[in-house]
Amino acid sequence: MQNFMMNLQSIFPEVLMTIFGLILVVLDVMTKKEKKSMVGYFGIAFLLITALLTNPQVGGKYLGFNNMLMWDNFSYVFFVIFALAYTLTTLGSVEYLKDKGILKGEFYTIMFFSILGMMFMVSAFDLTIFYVGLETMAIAMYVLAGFNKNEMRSSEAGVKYFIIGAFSSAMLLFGMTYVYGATGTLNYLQISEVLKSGLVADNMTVKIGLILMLTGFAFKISAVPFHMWAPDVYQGAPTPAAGFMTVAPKAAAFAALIRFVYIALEPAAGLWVPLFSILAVLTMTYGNLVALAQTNVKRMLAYSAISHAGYMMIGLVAMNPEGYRAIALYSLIYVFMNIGAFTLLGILKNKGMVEDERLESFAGLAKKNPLYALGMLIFMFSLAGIPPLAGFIGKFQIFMAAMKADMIWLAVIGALNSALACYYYMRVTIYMYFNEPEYEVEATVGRSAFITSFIGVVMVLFVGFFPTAFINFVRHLLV
Amino acid sequence: MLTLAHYLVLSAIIFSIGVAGVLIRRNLIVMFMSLELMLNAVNINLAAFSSYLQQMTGQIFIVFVMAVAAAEAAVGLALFISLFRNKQTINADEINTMRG
Amino acid sequence: MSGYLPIVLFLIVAGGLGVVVMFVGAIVRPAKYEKVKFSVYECGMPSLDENRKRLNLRFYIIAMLFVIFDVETVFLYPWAVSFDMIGLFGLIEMILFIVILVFGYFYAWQKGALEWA
Repeated sequence: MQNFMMNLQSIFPEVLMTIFGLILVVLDVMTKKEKKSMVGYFGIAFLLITALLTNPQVGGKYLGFNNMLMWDNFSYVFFVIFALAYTLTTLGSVEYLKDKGILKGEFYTIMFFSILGMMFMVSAFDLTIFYVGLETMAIAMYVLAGFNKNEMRSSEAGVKYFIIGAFSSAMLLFGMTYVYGATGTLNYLQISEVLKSGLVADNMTVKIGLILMLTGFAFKISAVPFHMWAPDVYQGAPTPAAGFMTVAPKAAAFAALIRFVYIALEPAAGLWVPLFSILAVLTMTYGNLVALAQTNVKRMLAYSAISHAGYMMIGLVAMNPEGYRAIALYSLIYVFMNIGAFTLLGILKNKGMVEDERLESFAGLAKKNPLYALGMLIFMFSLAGIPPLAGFIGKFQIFMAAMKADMIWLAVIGALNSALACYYYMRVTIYMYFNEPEYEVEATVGRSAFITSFIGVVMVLFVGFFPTAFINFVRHLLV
Repeated sequence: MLTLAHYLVLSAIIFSIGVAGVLIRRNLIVMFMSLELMLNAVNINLAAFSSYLQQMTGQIFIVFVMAVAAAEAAVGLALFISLFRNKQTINADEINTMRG
Repeated sequence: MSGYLPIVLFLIVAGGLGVVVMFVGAIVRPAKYEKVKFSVYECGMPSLDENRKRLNLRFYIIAMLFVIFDVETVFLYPWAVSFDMIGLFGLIEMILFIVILVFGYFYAWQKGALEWA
């Protein structure tokens, strides 16, 4: 009976989310066509309830189902990150979706269920659970990318994401089977024990398996050279969905990767640390260099998302608790600044009609829409990592973790890269503030978009000026 | 006698055919069939290891892989249909609206 | 490999029988060709237009729903096999599983995915 209670406690958040998700499905069927945003608002309320009910106090660990599922502070912090991403996206998406004629309850239901998948990914201590969570998230994301079925770009994004995503999942899965065959278990703790015992250390099977698995992971976090899907998908997807997709699934993939490599592969650090160090350098540099050449702001933000994944990978290879704490903090900050930027991008329209993402369209916006320009400026500065904004705090923590792990060269490359990145973020603000308007562009900030960007701006400033509260939030994380 | 190695070679061959199919073929439906081939190679591997290790874990994993593959198939076909309605083609080479 | 010998024999006999029957038939039967003989056999009828035309989209939606709900039953098999070991607890879990599926069914029904018109 005690066993049963322990199991229940470990899965309680997911059970709660499943029940709420099913209620959302019913609500979606019940609500009238023009009131579908209610589904999204109910989703926010449900997430808030779950977040309040499931907080494991610091140090609380609920490991259930024969060590397959873990609910601890780490899972909780990442759940809060996903919940915030959902909240901001939902608030910011209503007007955009209504405008495009795709304000459907499914948008929110699917996003909600994707969070359920992410929770399973993060709390998994077993590859089976991890895989099911990953696919729940991924399938939901394919639908979100292709959500605007009237538009060709969105359909293309959905199909591309689907093919590449399924391909990388199959690769990950094939690697898992070899790891399973060589170690005889799918459990992280037991894999770690088997690897530690040295019985399979030089085994070719386990090496091939791990390399295939890590390649699959690299696809999911869009690390160069496995990034080719990311720009197209982020550009084609509906703008609010793109904002969500650059933030939450990436945070989930990182969290799951952290759990896997820090627990299961801890004895095999010699294998993956050099691999991910190289990938981190490639990802940062490539993302930034290609972003420099972009003239479409949405595509530029897509490449910037790739380079941000590179910064986060520095925290991964640092191999110390500061590293993954920094990743958690970075993901949290990234939620505010990136979803804010995407929301503002989504309301920019040419002649008040067509969605416009060209860089030239930003020219002279500061005179027409001073508030809009100011918000965009703050998000761009924060993404560039200019002190004292939130983005700087995130990068600083990541680089500190690298310093502590004696990987100064990696921190230096990261810092150089963020200096490089300043150029293309600044270019947007320069266009807004110093260029004369070229096109008849309008940015009507509606109520919901205003709330989202306002929350984003406030949080970016708040984290920047009072970082201690947020650093405390992640300070006790332990994998 | 059939040993573990036979099954592993078989699944590796099937997986490679699947990978080659995804990379070479340009019809989205055929690419998707190749993806299913990759997943089936995974299932063969799991079954072989599960039988070799005398464990149930691998076989249970197969059930999940199958269920997920079905969900993936449904979503994938829906996406293909919506692409076809917009573009009148399902050739992967013609999905090139976005560049850069 | 001796275990496969019956299968090889079976294949040889099956293939050989087909070949033999065709040859004997060709030799024995009278060869008369008429117009009627080249028409479609019995219940078939000459096709009216292209047979590679587009199908109604409804078929795809039904097919998708079928794929999902059909494959979910794969979970029922291991459950049924081990039912005597997991007992009441397993029954409740399976009921919960089915209830979740019913939510999906309800959704598809209410959205009109099951209507043909």
